[in-house]
Amino acid sequence: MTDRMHAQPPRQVFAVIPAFNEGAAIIDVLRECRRHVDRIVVVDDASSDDTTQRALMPGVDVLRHPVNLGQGAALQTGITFALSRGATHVVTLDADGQHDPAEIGGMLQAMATGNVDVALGSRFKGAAIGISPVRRNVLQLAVLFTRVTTGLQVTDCHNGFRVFTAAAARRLRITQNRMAHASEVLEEIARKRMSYVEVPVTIRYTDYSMAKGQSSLNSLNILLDLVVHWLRK
Amino acid sequence: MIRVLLTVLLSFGLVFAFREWKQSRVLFGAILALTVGGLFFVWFDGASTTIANAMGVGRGADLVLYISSAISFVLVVSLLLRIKQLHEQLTQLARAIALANPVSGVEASSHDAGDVT
Repeated sequence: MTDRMHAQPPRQVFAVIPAFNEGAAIIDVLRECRRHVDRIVVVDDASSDDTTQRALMPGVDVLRHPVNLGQGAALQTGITFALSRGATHVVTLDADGQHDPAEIGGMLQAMATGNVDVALGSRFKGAAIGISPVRRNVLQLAVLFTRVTTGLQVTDCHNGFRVFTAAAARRLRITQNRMAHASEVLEEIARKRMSYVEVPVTIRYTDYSMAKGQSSLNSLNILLDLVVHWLRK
Repeated sequence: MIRVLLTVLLSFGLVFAFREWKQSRVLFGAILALTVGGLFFVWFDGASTTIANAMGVGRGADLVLYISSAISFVLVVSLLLRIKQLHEQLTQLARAIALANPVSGVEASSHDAGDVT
């Protein structure tokens, strides 16, 4: 009886993948990803291409925003949906193939070993293949900024490869619709005192991901979003 | 006459400041300070030159110009916050629509080639 009362629910790992005009890459990403998770939630952020149609494969739920809101908004939508479907762990990763889903198992293992709420992927503990010197320097500055503003001694930030327990995902509130959400997630982890572990991961910068990804100049937009966010407090 | 007119106009600033209270304490304080400062200069215009000199600005009129620039900046930020608020409402609406209409992949998908584990 006691065992039954304390029995853990079976592990249900959901991947949440925000996608915007990723028709060219989404199928490969999903095929690889579903080998490592129980279910995938793709949030199509009002793509003008055939992302939704291509994402419709077994084991995948697709949600579609009627208007383009941004990656942060898509993540929050996907996380909300995953939790409503019984996820015990929520993995977030990009739709452009930068992240290697084969590393999800290692992240889950690190969480179990450390008994923590969140696993954060770190390309600077792992590998950043094909990263440009400018991008590396901008990210290092962002890491310094994050350490000062959150107190978290992280080695990477703006890395979308993360795993949350359901309890942590439930406490997370992403209000930054666009790329500033990555800083907001770390702020949330610090403010709500979630325990975390950084796990080495590999990020592959390909021509496709570089063309799809954000420009280093976008860091100024992110800074502006964070200032506006601060003003509203 | 002009003093009365300016006082009426700046009083709208006070109303605006109190409207901002719920949205942003920072903006509330900034608008309140700038509006009260403006009213002070309207009724004690001689003081503007004295304060300007103390602050290293040549003329009182220049100081008032700088303050009005600051007011414009604060108003722009205020509008930015209002746009953000509207965007949040749009986000909630779009999210509700997306969550209400999930589509699941079918087993017989033409491009399916992998296994779910």
